[in-house]
Amino acid sequence: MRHELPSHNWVRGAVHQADDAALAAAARAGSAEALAALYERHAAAVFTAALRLLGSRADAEDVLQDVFVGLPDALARYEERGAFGAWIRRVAVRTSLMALRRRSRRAHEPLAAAGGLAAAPPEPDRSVAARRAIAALPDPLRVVFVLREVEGYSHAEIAELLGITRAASALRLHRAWKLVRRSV
Amino acid sequence: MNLPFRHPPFSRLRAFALGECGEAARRRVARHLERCARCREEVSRVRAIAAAARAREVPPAGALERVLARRARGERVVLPAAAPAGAGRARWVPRAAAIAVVLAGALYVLGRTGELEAERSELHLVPAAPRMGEPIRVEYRATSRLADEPRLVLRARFRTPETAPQEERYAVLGLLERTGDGTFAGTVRLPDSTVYAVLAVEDTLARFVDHHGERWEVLVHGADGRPLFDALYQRSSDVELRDTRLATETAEELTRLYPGRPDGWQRLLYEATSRAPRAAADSIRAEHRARYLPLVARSIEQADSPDVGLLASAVFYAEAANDTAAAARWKALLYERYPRHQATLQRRVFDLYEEYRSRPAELPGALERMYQEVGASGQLAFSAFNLAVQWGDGDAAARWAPRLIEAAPWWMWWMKARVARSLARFAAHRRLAAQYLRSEIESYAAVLEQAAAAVHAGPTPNVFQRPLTQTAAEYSEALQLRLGELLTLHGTTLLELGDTAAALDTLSRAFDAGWDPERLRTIGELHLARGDTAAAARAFARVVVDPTTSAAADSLRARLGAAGSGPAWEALLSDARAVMKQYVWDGAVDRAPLLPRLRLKDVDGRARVVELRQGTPMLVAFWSRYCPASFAQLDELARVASRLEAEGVPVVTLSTEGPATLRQFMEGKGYRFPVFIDAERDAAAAFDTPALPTYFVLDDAGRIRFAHHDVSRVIRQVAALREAK
Repeated sequence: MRHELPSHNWVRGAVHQADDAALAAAARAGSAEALAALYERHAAAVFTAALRLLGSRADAEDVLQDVFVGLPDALARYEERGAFGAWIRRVAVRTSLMALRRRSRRAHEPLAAAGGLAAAPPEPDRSVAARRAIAALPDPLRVVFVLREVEGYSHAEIAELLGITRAASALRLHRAWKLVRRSV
Repeated sequence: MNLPFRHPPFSRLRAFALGECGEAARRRVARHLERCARCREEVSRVRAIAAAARAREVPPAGALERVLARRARGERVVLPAAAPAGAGRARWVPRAAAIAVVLAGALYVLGRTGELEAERSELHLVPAAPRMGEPIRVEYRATSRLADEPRLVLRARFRTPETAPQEERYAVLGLLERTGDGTFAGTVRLPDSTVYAVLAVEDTLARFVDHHGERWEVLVHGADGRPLFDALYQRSSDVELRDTRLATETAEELTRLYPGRPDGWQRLLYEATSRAPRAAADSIRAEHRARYLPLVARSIEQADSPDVGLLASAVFYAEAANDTAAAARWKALLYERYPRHQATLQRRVFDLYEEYRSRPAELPGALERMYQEVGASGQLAFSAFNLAVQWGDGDAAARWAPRLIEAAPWWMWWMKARVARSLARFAAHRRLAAQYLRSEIESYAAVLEQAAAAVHAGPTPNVFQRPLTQTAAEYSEALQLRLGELLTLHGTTLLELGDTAAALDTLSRAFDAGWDPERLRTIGELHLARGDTAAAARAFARVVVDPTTSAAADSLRARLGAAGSGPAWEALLSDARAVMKQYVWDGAVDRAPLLPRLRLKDVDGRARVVELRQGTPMLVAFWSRYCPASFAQLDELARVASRLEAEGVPVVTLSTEGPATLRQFMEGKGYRFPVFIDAERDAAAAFDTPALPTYFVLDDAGRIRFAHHDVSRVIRQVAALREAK
């Protein structure tokens, strides 16, 4: 943790001065520039949420693309009361959960066995080890872990979102921490 | 670990670590953590995992283009409704942003008056990624040592884009006013053009400094949200001495964000090769030549008018990567565009060295001709002066001395004393040396006076500023010590000049400037040379009573003749003992380590338990060969340890390395002192210190009586403890 560099929002190209609401309105009306500007601002948050939830870069990119391809239409439902950044993260969470359900129906992608983690050599860098361990969690545990610890949902919200009980959410969180701690 | 308490459940540690605890639970856990290394480790692990999980990922390249292409093809995706907003969400989000820059958490602070305390002090900055000149809101949760103050002082060590590698500047950023129970806040601005700063909080008299291991830092960001090039560059340079790994990682980040900048690559190459074995360094250089040098070449070719910094560092980088062709090309460009720039003049001095390699006797003449042509350049004067001293050419050294002092920037505060020390070797130029020393002594005395008068008033003269981690008392002590050295040197020089009255005056001041047996011996020798046996006896008596130099007793007494024996001599000895005792006990503390015994591993990987209560004094030393200050004291630590063991005093030293490399290192250096590995972090829990090396001298009952960073004091302290029994 000590060696972690500060996070930086690397915005490529020009700095966009317009605010999110104006960009959203322009994107809804079909402006590709406005969509690109929104992408520059929020793609990292969407991609991070998707990557943590899905544990796979390829799947996370699919979600990232889908969110922004579908964004102009979805913006019709966006109420400008809340922050756009928070809203698009919630969209990203839902889209990732859908992708996860599709993936588990496909079921040809073997899930990382939790038992295999202990055998892996310890990673010298804690943060790399931590991200690997989270990615390697079984899907049901990883989803609860990420929703709680990364996205900041309460157990009640997680329960509602996943259709499980609050107790089950708390138990999954506990099991997830146990596995992650073991490999960090 | 046989601790008489129960560990909190993991769920509570997690809540504590992530700031989700209520106040009562937070206090309970904090109290437990003070005593429990295992749970502290768990808390730190939870924080590391959460920070890693929350770290932003960079989206794959080209994804935006693929999105726009899919849109252009008329593709439509129906997204699900947004998941519900959570009430708890906002709680950590600003916090997480702050954590990215300011690392909060449980940290053991070695109290400046000797208290060891497990304290959760935290410093939060908003915004965490400030732009240049932007006001910063600072919130501080104090350690117990500072919690009761009405207001605190926020100090910074800071760097600007022009800051040279060794240059350190300090500033008081502002006051933090008390806002609640142990919490303080204020809004400050960094000094103009600051790109990187390390922060510390202290009371208004600087009696206690919370510097958090120098881990509270600010990197100034650009309008695009990235840390500025100079912010990362200066950070890499600033942390290099205390954390080489962080320096390397910062250089990597620098080249990732700014691949066209040769200074970034040069910094990375330097970090990667300076500690690598030769073969590895060669392959790193080859990789830089093949992969990264072309990036630099492209950015230089694309620039209409490459600036002087870009060119100068490109030459250094190409040389470091062994690409002589590129180095020659860029050097020619540098000379053509910026013929009188300091960077060009520096390179031209190097060129002269190359040119005259086969006929070195002509080099001084060539340097002199260059001076007549271009005037004083720092590099030129520095090279020429050193060459003259090395070759014993006193006249040339005296000619270059004022030019060097003139060309040295203010932050080379040591330059005048260094020049004087070298000049004093030449009989014909001692007068000039004494003159430099006197002006140096005057500025030190002035700083000392000012330091005593007011710790925070006005800008400190640039001669010698108080380091961020020093209290006012430690700063005064360091100034005293240095003043003592200068006075001794000045006195010696004056004596050699035959200026006896002035020499004596200076030496009497040096005599009172601190306890240093080697200096006392020099002073005694000087008095003896003058025929003042009484004064010599007074100094030698102090040398004789000091256990580190007592072996010289017989020879010193013999030289004193009649003054070295009899009741008068005995009276001097007893007086000297009393003075030494006062110096030694001045720095004493009295507190228990936080664990009664340490579970350690030896270099063979075997588990060992060390009881801290030995019924005799004991030395516990922390060292690392990667810390320059610590490495420099290892030979003396070996001598001290062997002497203590011969006297039956147990010695435990703790290193930061693994058993295999550690054993190899110890065998390679021929060190025989006992060294252990703190695998369970017991020693860190009992003694943890923000700086290396640190020496703890324990008494019979296992209580810490002395804690400091200077191995040469240990023998005196052990002797004082034995005598006190």
